[in-house]
Amino acid sequence: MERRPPRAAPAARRPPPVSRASGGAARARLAIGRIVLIVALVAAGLKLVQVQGLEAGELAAKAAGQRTTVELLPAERGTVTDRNGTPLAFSTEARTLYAMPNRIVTEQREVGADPQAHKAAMARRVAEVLGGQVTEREVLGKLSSDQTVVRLADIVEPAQARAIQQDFPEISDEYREVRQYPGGELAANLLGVANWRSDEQKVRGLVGLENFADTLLAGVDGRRVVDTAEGEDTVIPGSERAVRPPVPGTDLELTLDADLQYVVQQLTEDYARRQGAQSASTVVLDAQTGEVHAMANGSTFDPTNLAEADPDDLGNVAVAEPFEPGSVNKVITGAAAIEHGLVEPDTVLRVPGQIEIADRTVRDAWSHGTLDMTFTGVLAMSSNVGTLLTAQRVGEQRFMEMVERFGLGRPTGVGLPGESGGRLPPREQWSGSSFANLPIGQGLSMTVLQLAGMYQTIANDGVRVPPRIVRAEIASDGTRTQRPRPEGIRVVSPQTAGTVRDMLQAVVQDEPGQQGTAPAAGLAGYRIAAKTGTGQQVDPACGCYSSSEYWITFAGMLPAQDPRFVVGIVLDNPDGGTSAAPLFHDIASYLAQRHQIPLSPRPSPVATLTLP
Amino acid sequence: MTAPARTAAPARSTRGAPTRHRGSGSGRARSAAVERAYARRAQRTDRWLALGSEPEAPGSRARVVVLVMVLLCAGLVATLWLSTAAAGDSYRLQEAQTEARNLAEHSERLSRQVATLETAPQLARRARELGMVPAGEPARLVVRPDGAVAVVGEPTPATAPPPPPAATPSPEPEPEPEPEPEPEPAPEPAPEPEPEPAPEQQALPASGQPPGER
Repeated sequence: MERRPPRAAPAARRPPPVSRASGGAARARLAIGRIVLIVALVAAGLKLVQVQGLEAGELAAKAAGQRTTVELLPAERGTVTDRNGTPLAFSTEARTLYAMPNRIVTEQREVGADPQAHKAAMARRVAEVLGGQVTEREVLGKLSSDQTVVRLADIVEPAQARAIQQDFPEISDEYREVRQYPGGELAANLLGVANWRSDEQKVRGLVGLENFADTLLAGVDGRRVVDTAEGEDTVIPGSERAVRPPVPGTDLELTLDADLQYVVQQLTEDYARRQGAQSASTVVLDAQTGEVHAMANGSTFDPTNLAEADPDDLGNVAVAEPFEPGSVNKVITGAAAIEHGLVEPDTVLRVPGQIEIADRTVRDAWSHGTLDMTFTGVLAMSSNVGTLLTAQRVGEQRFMEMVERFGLGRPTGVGLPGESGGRLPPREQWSGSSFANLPIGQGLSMTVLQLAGMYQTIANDGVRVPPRIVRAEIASDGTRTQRPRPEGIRVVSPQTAGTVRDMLQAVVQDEPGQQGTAPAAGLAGYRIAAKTGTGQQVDPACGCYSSSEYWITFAGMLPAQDPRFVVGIVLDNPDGGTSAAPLFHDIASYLAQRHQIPLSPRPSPVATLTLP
Repeated sequence: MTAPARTAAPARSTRGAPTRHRGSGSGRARSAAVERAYARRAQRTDRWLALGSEPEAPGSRARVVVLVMVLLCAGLVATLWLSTAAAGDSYRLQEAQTEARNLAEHSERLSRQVATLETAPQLARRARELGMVPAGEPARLVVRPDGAVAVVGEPTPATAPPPPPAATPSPEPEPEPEPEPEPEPAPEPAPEPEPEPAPEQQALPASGQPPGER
């Protein structure tokens, strides 16, 4: 025990001479090992700096790219329904199918198969599943093209897309939203159309209400980032992050009545075609609320087949194209004269055959000598001379005040795009003959919606409620927000409105010698108040009023004693001698049936129009 | 070695007490030292005992190691099981989602069909295909306060409207216009039996305009 330590100690400190050579080798090994370790450490350190510092972002992105998937969570576009909840426009989900012909060739060659046979099988399967949407030949043609990516089918139901992809995983698909218009042409001019924008990956409104209310309807797309197993869509649990849920679009509930809209649209289109009118439009308003129950144009388009639509038909004539109203405008003079107590319905006016105002000579539509007409007769028989005589008693100032209160010259704010307010010459720009034109509905223009609005005022005891098309918004969480009804504007007193309604009933009067201008508008059992009009169109060749082209207008309400509905009609240059009264009659008849309007307790009293 | 010293020490002190007088004081000091020695020995013995327990150590350490290994294994198994279950659930979840999606697509397809078939144009087309025609203008019966019934309007059989000039006429079978039922006296329990409402007919037309003219 005592001897061993002294022996061991020198051995450690001083190796015996015999082991001196091997000791040098060991030291060299140690040195080399040390150097190798240091080099390795330095190399590792450098790589660390490179990976963690210099290329960190790039590598992380690469790694993320291998498993990270950014998923778009599309927001569903809002539905548009009519007042009863019938859907007019809604969205469905679909897929677009793509293929890469070159890659198919490469892949098939790799496995030693015939690419052409594979493509043929692919085309057969696609055509079989889609059944008629595309033909086998079309698909094969696309697959044989030398484009990098070909679109095999545009709108495919998701289930069909999956069925195809099960057999041919190399066919890729893409989310696609499809806007459905179940009614086809029903209210197409008003709704407009929304279509798929491949650059935005979203359906956007193109024209009409779809375009006007696009931000409301579209909603906001969401997105989420997930990790997925490579080559699969299976999401790795718990890897979901950066989730922004989509906000679905708001649903719109319109004031339209789809059934009424269909009937009015059919009748208007039919009548316009039958009478050779270039265009026609009709508006049906609720007499009390000003809600638009129907708005139809003579020609329309099919939103499901936009490619074949005539671009001229895409607009909404009823709000976009003003016309010179003609005699329907006489109601303003009538209302102003009654309101200011200048005349009574039975006041007798001496109406000469013609009247000269400034440089213009105005005659009536039928030639006559001096007649003794009641004021009711002036309106019912639509005497220009009688109206102008009355208008002069009303005066320019009071006339223009009334015109503006009736809402002419500015848009109604109905909530449809491209609305025109018509043209109303300001008083400063009047010429001497302006006051010979305006009271009889020439020299100013209005849309058929404004026309209906004027008569809605008379129907609603003198309060004009600006018309509206959107009744309520329904948010994605189901909360329903009623759009506030615009405030009514008092135009004339209830008594005046009632008196004017009584006078307008004489328009449909059909008594021998005391006939109004539109007996054809009458509806058995109901009291109808209405007014006809004929506006001369401006001939662009001479800049003067044409003597062959007219706007045929009509406005009416039923039942006259307690109006429920107001109808405005305009026909653009129909065949000569056409009246819009039969069209009004048909619409009124349908309205009476649909809303089960009770018969008027007593027929309209017979009014004296002209005195012998 | 120490035990004889302990037994000898009192003997020596008692023996040497008369000769070495200062022995009493040193004897006291010695006993303190002894006590310290005892304490030290006790300490040593403790250490001995502690060391003596070492033979038991292998078994107890093995237990700890086994325990830790078991815990680790359990943890590993639990982790594996959980992640497998999670993965399995995620596949099941996906299956369920697939099914939910299929059903949602199915319901969407059906509601689209319903919406399309419910629209007025489709209903009108199908009614036309069945040979139906628009009813035209109805005549209405009005029961007077005296129980008499008046007919308002002219009951006319519904006829197929002339096909619009531009549109292609749909293949229309015989329209078979059903005449409006002949106006019967209303079954209102009238106080006096009114035999013939005929004289009252046409009592109320607002205008003499024949309805339904086109």
